[in-house]
Amino acid sequence: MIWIHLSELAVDRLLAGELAAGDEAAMRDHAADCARCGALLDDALAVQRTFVPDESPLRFVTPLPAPRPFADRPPRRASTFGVIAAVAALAAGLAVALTWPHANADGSVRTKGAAIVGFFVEHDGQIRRGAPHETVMPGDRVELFTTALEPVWFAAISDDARGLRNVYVAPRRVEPGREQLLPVATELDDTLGTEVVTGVFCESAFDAGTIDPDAPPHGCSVDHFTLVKVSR
Amino acid sequence: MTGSELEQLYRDHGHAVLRRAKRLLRDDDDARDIVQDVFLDVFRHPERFAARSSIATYLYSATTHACLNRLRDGRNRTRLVAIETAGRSHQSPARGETRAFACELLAGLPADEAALAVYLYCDELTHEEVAGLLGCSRRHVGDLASQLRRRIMERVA
Repeated sequence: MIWIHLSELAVDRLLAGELAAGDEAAMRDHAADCARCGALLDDALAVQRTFVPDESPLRFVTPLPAPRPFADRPPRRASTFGVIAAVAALAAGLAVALTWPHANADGSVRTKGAAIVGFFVEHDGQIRRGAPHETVMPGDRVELFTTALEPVWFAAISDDARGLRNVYVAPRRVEPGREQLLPVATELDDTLGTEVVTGVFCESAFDAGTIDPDAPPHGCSVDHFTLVKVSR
Repeated sequence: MTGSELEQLYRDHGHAVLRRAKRLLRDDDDARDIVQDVFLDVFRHPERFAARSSIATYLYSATTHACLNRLRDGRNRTRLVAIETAGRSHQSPARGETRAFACELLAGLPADEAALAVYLYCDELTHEEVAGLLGCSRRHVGDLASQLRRRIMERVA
């Protein structure tokens, strides 16, 4: 390969160790004789040396996708919230999370294979376990965890007080186990009021944008919790 | 992709993404946001990488697109190229004109063409490198470059 001038991409590949030995040597030789390319390489090396991965990507805040109108679904029935709160309490407690079957708050039996979503709230650096109708504030971070007996696909979607839906967690495969913390967190926006977060669990991959939490398709189950967002 | 794999990827390549984003955005805070966006996107959608190119190439492309998305404002895009153009006294007058036209056009280009313009006129990548970024042949890059150049000339005319 003939190097006329080093491109930024070529430098990236050099530092990543992706180039063949001959190409790498040719690049370094060229950089030694070319002021422009030498400066480019020196700059890249300096950034690499000084780069401090000060924030683990696992702690990166999930930027919320652009909200889309919540036009396709009727408003939640009031009676649903009682169920949501009770299920959320179940999720928060997790006392018998892996001992199926057990009863849901609505009296139904959670069958083997059903799964639970729970959450933690980080507020001003303090982390607490989420409770039913947890009071939260804009800027707080919500971290979700799941409890499942089998590998399952999971997504979390949220319906806020304005009736807008956000995808908190895009569909991803989660492993079985108790309180498996998801590696993403969501920073809450400034929309005040009640926000219902629905965890959707499916046997196979699915599209979170089209699923209806009130009528999950065959092979899927849902679990909810409610946040009550108040101003700071 | 597991969390530990993401961590390792970030440690190995975060500096390159940050440098690229700083160069395109000229803003440290925005650049750090882009780093987060890029790595989260890899984490959420590993299939987009799918080893069709090297990871450095993929991240370079992903960072470019992320920055261009950030610079939806046409004036900012123009600023991007203007900054890139400044200080390159070695370029020939003809090349300088082409850059200036690309600068004008960049604001109105769709995302893929804007990225191509950045690769060709800002980064001065070879067609081979651009082919690696776009996942296509060098010949196709040549065709795309010709189309882009024609568009520039039509705009100028």
